[in-house]
Amino acid sequence: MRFQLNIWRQRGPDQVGDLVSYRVEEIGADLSFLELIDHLNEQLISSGERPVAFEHDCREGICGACSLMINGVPHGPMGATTTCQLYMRNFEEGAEITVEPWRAGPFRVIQDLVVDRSPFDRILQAGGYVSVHTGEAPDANGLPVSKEVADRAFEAANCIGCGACVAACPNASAMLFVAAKVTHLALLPQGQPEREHRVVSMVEAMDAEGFGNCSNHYQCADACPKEIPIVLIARLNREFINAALLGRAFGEHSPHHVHQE
Amino acid sequence: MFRLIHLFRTSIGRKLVMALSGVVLLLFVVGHLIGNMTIFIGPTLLNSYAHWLQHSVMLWPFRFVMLFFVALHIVMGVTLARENQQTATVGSKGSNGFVWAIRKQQMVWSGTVVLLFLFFHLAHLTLGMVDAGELFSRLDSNQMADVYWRVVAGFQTPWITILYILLMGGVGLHLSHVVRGLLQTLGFYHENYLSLWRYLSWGLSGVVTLGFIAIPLAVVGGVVQ
Repeated sequence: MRFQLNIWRQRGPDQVGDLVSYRVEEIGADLSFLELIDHLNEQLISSGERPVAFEHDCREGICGACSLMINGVPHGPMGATTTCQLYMRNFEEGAEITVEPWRAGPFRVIQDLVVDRSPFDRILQAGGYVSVHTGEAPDANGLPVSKEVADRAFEAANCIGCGACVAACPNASAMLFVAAKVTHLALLPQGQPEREHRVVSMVEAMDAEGFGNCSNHYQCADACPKEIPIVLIARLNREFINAALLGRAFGEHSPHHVHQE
Repeated sequence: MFRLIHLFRTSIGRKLVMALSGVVLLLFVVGHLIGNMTIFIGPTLLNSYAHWLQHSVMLWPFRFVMLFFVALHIVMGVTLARENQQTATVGSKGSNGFVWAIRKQQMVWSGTVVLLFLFFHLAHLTLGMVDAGELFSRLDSNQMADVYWRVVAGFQTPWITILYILLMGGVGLHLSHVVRGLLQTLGFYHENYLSLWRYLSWGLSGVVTLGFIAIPLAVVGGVVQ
């Protein structure tokens, strides 16, 4: 297959970037989108040009490293798919494809298609720890969890933290990401001791990182490769308002429950 | 107290202010609609209802409370929209298109239409600045201000009627986003009730918009004379 690629090239965080056109030919239909860029990079290296910087890790749709805005849609047009699981057979022969990094205020472009997603790491760190017994492995059903609750928690835990929700949001809001992380522990017995503290800290960290305010456009859930449900945002609001109004640890700036080695 | 101040500094807390002030304004709009429907029963009922409102001791306290919530809703809405403008998805050359550009700011521009409507509506039927004169001095047979006549005569001018209906459409668009957003912000948006909320959202905005538009249409159509 042949494609015309318009790829965002930017040398560094403070440099001005622009879209640059490349032609690629003899592409197998079963190549993944990342392999297409590998192919382009080989082409660039052999002609002495700087290869395109992009992020990737597991290439099996579970790590959240790949992060490409393909024709204006995070992870491309397939839906419920990460970029690494998007195959060239899903594009038309000779198609023109525009590839950009995530576009969001808090995610700075480092180079080409790589953005700095460490704001997500800091939000997770603000969430702190869960209290669990160490030592012997616990009995299999020592803590009863119903199937329904386990499924819902797992649905939320599916979030791979890729940042597509932020990239899709017109306000660059991280509510869906934070909602997924808060929900998955709030539903399980292991998450209860730090439940109030966790939601307050994570929302405050989210605000401090400069993510926008949710204005209920639901673009995040449409873009999510792991189909995190939109209703989790309402759950996050519920958890937060509950903790803020009725909880004990709100607004006092108590020493953070940060993880210490 | 400090807890609430702290809450309203967070993004979710500020959205809570938007939602709760919106609920107050929504209740006012629904109450206003129910009051307006008396026009279809007859001049006497509408005029005595208006007379009761105008001479209530609660009239000015109520107006100040409404003004406070309108101001709060606007100030908070502008604050949130400006913050979002700063953090928003910057410089994308992707194919987001014109429709999306309009949709993503729907509450900002439809909110502006609501505000314009509010000014126009107050000037037209409360202050009598659009077409004054005998419209506002006329009394009915019970010596009450003839509000019924004011409405009927007020909608005789075609451009006023058309403007009223157009601006009311903007109010409807603002409301169409309200129920789902409200329930989401307050935390009631639950998977068991998604379709109910969707029907409620369209139902409420539809009933309110059509209810208000029915009055000028009834005047133009000669149903209300």
